[in-house]
Amino acid sequence: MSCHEILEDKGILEADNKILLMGSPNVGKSVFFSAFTNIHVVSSNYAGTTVSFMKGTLRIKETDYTLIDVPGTYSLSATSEAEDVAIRFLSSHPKAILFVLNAADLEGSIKLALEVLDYNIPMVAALNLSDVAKRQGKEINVKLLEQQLGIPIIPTVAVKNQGLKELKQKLEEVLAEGSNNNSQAKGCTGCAGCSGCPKGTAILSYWERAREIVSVCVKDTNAEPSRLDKFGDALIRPWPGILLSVIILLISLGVVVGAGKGLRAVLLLPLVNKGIVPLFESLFSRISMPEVLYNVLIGQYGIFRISFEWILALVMPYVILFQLVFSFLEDSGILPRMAVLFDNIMRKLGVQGGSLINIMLGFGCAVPAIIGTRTATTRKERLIVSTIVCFSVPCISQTGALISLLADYSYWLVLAVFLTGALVFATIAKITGRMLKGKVDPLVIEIPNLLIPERKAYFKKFFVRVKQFLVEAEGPMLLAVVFAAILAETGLLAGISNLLKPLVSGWLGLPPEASMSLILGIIRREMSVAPLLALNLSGLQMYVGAVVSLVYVPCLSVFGILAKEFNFRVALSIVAGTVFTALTLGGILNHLGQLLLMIF
Amino acid sequence: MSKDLYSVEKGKEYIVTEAPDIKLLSSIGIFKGARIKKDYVYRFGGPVSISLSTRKIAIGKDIAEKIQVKGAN
Repeated sequence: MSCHEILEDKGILEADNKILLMGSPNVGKSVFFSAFTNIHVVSSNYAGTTVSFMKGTLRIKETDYTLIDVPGTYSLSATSEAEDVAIRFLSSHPKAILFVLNAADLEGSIKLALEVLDYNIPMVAALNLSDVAKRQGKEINVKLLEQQLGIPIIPTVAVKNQGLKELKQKLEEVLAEGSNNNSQAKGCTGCAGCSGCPKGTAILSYWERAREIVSVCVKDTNAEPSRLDKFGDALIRPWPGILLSVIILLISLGVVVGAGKGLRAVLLLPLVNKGIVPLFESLFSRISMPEVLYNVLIGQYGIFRISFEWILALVMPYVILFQLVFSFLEDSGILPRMAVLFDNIMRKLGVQGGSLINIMLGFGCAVPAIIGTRTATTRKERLIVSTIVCFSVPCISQTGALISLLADYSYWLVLAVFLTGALVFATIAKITGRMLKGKVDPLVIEIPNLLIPERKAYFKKFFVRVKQFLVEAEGPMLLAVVFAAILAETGLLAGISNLLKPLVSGWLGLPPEASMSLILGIIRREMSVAPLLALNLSGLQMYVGAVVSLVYVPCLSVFGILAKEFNFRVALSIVAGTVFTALTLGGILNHLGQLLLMIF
Repeated sequence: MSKDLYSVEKGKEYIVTEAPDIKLLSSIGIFKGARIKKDYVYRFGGPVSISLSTRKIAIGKDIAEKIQVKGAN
């Protein structure tokens, strides 16, 4: 079982022994991928384009095949970049295709299967989500379906590992046949433009043929819809859908914030303050060393103090809880329903409901949110959504830090910062919409069946996400901590604070030491909040500090991903924009606040 | 007689008589001759949700207004 970073598009296209995993979006292809390769999240970016795919090694009978999780598409008419990728893979002489049919949306997936079949590549199909189809009272005659499509089909429930063994067995048989009959496999592939290709076949006839096949193979038993389907339906009705969505969001927020605060107060703070830090204190006091070094290690801002106070007690509980809750929302099918319900608001802001999913991702971290905007159909939409995420959506580590800062003072302060963020959100959406040329396409989105996340798959995803966070964020966080310790404990900070005093104290009304926030914020977002915790700020100062760090995002990883996904200029404009806006807005709010305090 | 999908009555079945030339629409299942059921309309400029034979989708107002349909009976 091995996996590699994908270096070049060309390399992977030319790889021998490819097996393509294909199907419409959201049919569970990645579950098959994980099960067959034991790779969980090895998402690789496709050079410069808008799609990502995964590859891994699948061993069948002593032979290593490269299994490629091709991004899901609705058709093969090369209308989106994802479809382009799919077509390029189909034309790259794969050994076989593992096609995933959606038993709950048979017509749509058969239509795509027919398009893929025209490429004359040996194929095996999984009839996935067969439990959902059964739940909805659909009886599918698999034998007949096999005859109609002319390929072997195995019913599966991939998340429960049902049917996967049989599927692999069938794949093995098809591969054995394929190697005996190599000429057939080449067929019409690799000649994208030739007139003999199946591309000429009209879309309509595929749909007609799919409908015929469904009418032959599927019997609708008109079963009473399950409670889950009823709930899924209620969630998509304007009423009570909107109310239910708001309740779900509030519960999610409540779980993350409430449990996070609880975990921090009951377990993590005592552990850090009474256990870990005293341990290191007694350890370091036994070793003789210069005072500066001692302070850098365990002083007020010492590495061994703040790395535990900030990373373990401040950031981790919220990151873990967020992933628990968000993975559930993602897997259940609630997010696309919210995209539909709130499309009207998003449309008024100049984007469309679908981008809400990326914005929600941004509450985890801006990086996946910005990568996620690849699903947007125009560059303008990508840019607007990425800018919104940078300016007004705090990542979860930052949210955790902000809540720790504000909620101990007053929940009203949390609300005030939230509303200010919403205002920035709307303003930025409007301004970027005006500034950028081009258009934003209206919403077109499939509403998937509501599912209860499968326990095993859900926890696996959760662990992968948390691990990924640790791998990616631990380095920068530790860097920020070391940086903070050196700045604060060597007296460097005093010098910088003096230099920035007119800005930090004069304009923003914060104590001079808050300059540490502005410096650490360059490394990571939440690190601009953490230093404020120990400064004994007044209510107004907290509000101003929180708004500044919310908007202020020169976070290195964000800068990096913006430069990679767009270009250096875009990254610089957005990041500089956040810095400028944060400082301007913070100063205005500070002066307004002081004025109000004077009057009342 | 055709009318646009946004304004026709919900809860009924229709045949698409004209659809704008947006590739995603035809690949997801909205094309001339397709049979659809209009489920819900979302207020304040929200989308229209419809059912195809085995698939539910939602379409933004600006596109739904350009899709012409006629009664299915």
